[in-house]
Amino acid sequence: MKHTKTCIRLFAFYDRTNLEKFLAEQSEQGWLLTGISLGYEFRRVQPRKRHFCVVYFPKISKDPASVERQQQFWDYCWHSGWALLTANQQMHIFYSELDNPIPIETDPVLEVENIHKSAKKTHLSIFYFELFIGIFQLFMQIKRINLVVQRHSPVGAFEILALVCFSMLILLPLLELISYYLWYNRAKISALHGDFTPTYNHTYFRAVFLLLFLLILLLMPIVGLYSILILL
Amino acid sequence: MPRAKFHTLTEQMFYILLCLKNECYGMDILDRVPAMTNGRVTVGSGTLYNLLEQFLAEGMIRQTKVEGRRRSYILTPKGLTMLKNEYERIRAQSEDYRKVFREEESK
Repeated sequence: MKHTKTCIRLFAFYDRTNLEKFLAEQSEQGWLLTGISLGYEFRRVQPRKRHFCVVYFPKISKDPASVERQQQFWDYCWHSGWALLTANQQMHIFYSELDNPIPIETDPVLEVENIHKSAKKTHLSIFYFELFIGIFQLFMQIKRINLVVQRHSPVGAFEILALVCFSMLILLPLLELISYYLWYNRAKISALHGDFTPTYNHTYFRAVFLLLFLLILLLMPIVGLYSILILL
Repeated sequence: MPRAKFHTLTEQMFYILLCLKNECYGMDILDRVPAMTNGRVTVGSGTLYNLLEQFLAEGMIRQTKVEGRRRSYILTPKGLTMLKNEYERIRAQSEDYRKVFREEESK
């Protein structure tokens, strides 16, 4: 019988609703999270119902004062019956074996604020950077295709594939940003009324998109090689 | 124009500040608030942590003791004023409520 396993899941960085649901399902099947690296790592435990809570701790850094503040936060959670499972940058995952633990976050306004502060520090900047690189690459690819057309040469499959590839490089971060801001704007308003808006689940869409992107990346060298062979 | 921060206090903010009228460990607030309110109001550990940080930044509370990782806090004069203002606001609301329902009963 396996005692450890790794699951690949494409949750959005702010998708705490579905991550908590996934961890709870795994717990009932006898798996408890031990860490997050390339995937979600689990170890075998007694199957039982456990509560999970994903919280976002924006003020993370390596300086001793920040580490102490973080430890203080964990102590408060421990006092309420929540044990830390893993901390992955700003995302901290806790679990509780109490029947009805008091949630770690009981103020949706503060919770949404923390998610947004954490998002701005890491993931949003990465998406903006990816968008910028994608737009730049797409622009350069269009210029290359223009030159080819001006020389009255046929535009090859490789150039078309590269165009599609760079377009996808723009689409993925753009869709992630749109999805996040759609949720964030709804969540801010709901939080003022005391409700936390569940986060969106786009894992299947993300999986399909990434598979398509990988397929194009795999095809490109094959098509490129074929184009060269034809010329020879 | 956005409302000033802490212009009105949520119940959780109100009770945290109430606990800090006298010196109190941060962690003890997690037990005191439900005890004070017969379980009606609870404060999440993360929410408590965040609010204490915000109150400190606003100068509404100050840290009095540090014993290892246990820290205790107490209201500052600014925090006491804000708590009193909130109490007056709730009292005025309660009075208005009583007036309206007294008028209806007398009709």
